[in-house]
Amino acid sequence: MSSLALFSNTGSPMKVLRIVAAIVGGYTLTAVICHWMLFLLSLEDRDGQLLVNIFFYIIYLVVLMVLFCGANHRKVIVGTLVANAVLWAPWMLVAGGNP
Amino acid sequence: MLLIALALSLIGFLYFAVTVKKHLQIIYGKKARITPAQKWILHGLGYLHQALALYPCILAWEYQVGITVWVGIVHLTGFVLVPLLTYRPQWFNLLWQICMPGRLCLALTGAPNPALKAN
Amino acid sequence: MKQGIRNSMIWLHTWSSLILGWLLFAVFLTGTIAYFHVEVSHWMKPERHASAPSDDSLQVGLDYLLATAPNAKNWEVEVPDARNRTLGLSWENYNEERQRRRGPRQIVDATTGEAIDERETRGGGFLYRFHFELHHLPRRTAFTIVGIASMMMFVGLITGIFTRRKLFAHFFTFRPKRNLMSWIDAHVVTGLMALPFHIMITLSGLMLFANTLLILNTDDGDRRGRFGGNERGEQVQPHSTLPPSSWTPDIAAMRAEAERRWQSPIAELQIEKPLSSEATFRFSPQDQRVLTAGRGGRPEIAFDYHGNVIEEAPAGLAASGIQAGYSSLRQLHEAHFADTVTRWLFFFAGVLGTFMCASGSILWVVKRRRKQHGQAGFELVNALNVGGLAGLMCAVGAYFWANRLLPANMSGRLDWEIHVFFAVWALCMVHAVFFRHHKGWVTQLSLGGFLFAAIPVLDALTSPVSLWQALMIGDWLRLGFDGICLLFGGSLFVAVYYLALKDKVGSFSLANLKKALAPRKEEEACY
Repeated sequence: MSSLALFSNTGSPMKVLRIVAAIVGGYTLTAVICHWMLFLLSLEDRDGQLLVNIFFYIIYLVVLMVLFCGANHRKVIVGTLVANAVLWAPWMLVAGGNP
Repeated sequence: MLLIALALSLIGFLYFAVTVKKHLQIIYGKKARITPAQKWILHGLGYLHQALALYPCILAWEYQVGITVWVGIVHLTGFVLVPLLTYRPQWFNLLWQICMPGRLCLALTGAPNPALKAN
Repeated sequence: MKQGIRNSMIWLHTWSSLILGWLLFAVFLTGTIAYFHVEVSHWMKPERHASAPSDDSLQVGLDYLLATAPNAKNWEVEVPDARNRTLGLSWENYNEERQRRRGPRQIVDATTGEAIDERETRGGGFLYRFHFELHHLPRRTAFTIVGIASMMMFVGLITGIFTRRKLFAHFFTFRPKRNLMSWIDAHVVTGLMALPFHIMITLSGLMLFANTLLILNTDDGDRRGRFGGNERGEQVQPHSTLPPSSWTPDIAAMRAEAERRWQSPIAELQIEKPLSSEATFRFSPQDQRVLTAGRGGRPEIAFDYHGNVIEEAPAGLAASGIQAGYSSLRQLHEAHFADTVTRWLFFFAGVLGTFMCASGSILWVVKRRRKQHGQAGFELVNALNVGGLAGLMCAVGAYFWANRLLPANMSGRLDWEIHVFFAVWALCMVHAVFFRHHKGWVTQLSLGGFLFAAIPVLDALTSPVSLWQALMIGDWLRLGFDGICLLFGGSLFVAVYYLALKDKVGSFSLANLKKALAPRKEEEACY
């Protein structure tokens, strides 16, 4: 097997933090992506809800797959935080803080 | 209708299976190879048969349920081919005999093993 | 594809599938059974076995309603169909609260017209509900757990595609007798061959959980509409009724006309203002051909007393493309629309998926057997495998046995059947903790094999209708259940054969069984 950092049996705190960041950060990232998607498509309430119900999981899947690639835990953690910040900040302004 | 769809889908998968070297060699003997062009044609025939299998499904079940049934049929025929190829390769040979377009194509464009012209 | 990415996918696939693998197996197994939950319920209510539907069944139902509820506001008859061999009758009286009922008010024998007093049981419904809301847990908690497991399944499914080198060259490959390789091949084949189904079922399942899993959703989904009823005709005043002998609508002709238009037998007849000349007769068909309209995907036709068509509604239309997509996914998951062929195709794909889940957990163990033997995590997985896979199958079998062995008039039998299910599962889990390897598998698979293979015998002995009679009246629901159980039990015994009864040459050998079961302590060997 490869010797990439993710697959070593040592449970370093960085590794755990990266996993948590990917799962939780990925979830919030997907949520804000969905918000933007609905905003840009300007869909009505019910249709928007249903669209999100279907697409959230597909987007979350892709986000998870991306965030679990790569060996550098630090990079991923920082990247997740930055991506979340970059997308959530304008959304809070646009939608008046509606999470 | 169901049987027709099953048959067409199974034939479609036969075309796909024959492009795999291990299964090709069941029919045409060891050292059989096919060219990329032949592979494309056989794949095309495979897709064609799968698409044709859709028609009886839609006839019997109308569009929406028909597509659902078609996908279910493709699952079934794909799976059936696995034990067939593993445990009864001679049946694979037999079934290939009815795939006329495929055999014709291979014969015309150079049979995989010229020394062993498929009957 | 770069090696690094592939390794990440392998890691993600392994962990997302392994952690809740047994829960996923349980969901898949009970979900696959749930495709036939109505048929399972039929088997679990032997009082229904004598009913033999025929073309006259509709009239039998109407006669019963005539006798029981002549002054009702409306009548409803669910005729026997491919999944039900009894009549389901309902009626509403004036000055009665509109009751929310799950199912008909009275089940009636389709031949004799007598009310059936059937035993209390959740039937197949227990397994169906277990599949998404487990049991004993508050609903929202269970939804969250199963929902998270489903997301992990989704991740596992898609990342799994990336783990296989040379996917196409090995598309039809199965290499038997190679232990790890064989398990991997089995896992890949069952996953790949029904991949469209797996993706659809997982995504649609997740979609149905959206209200629980997605915090950003505050709207309620369309879980309503399940208990719909007739909203038409808010009659408060009783209508004037005719004496039964002079109420003679030509229902047979109406039915024939409806069936002719739809090319499908009717499923249900609703009569508003029965026993009057203002009566309206509404029919709906068995076959549902439209998925995009959700549960409203069936047409309807209404006749007046004289047989004229007064209303004809085609199958509903979705309000928008997205609603069509949502409804289709929902219908595909729940498969209420499916006729016999379609249902069996779904079931087949479900069986493949269940096997995929099981083989995944097993191959993880087989791969690491040499290196990790004795380590805590490895042993834990072994125990969970035996108890969660073989043990669960024993529990399902025990549930069916409990249904027949518990007395029919015992109070609380509904809960006791479920207690038996969990008790057997718990016992198997405890057994699995101590016997995590070969012996555990052999014992529990044998138990499961016996429980299932003996179902036809149990059925014959504990039902008022014999198997031969069932064949005569064409009760394929029951016989099909017996047959599938026999097949399933047989396949479990085949597994036991491979584990314990086969010697090196491949022939049957009891000596090996003795060796497999012989512990260090005293115990009786089974001969």
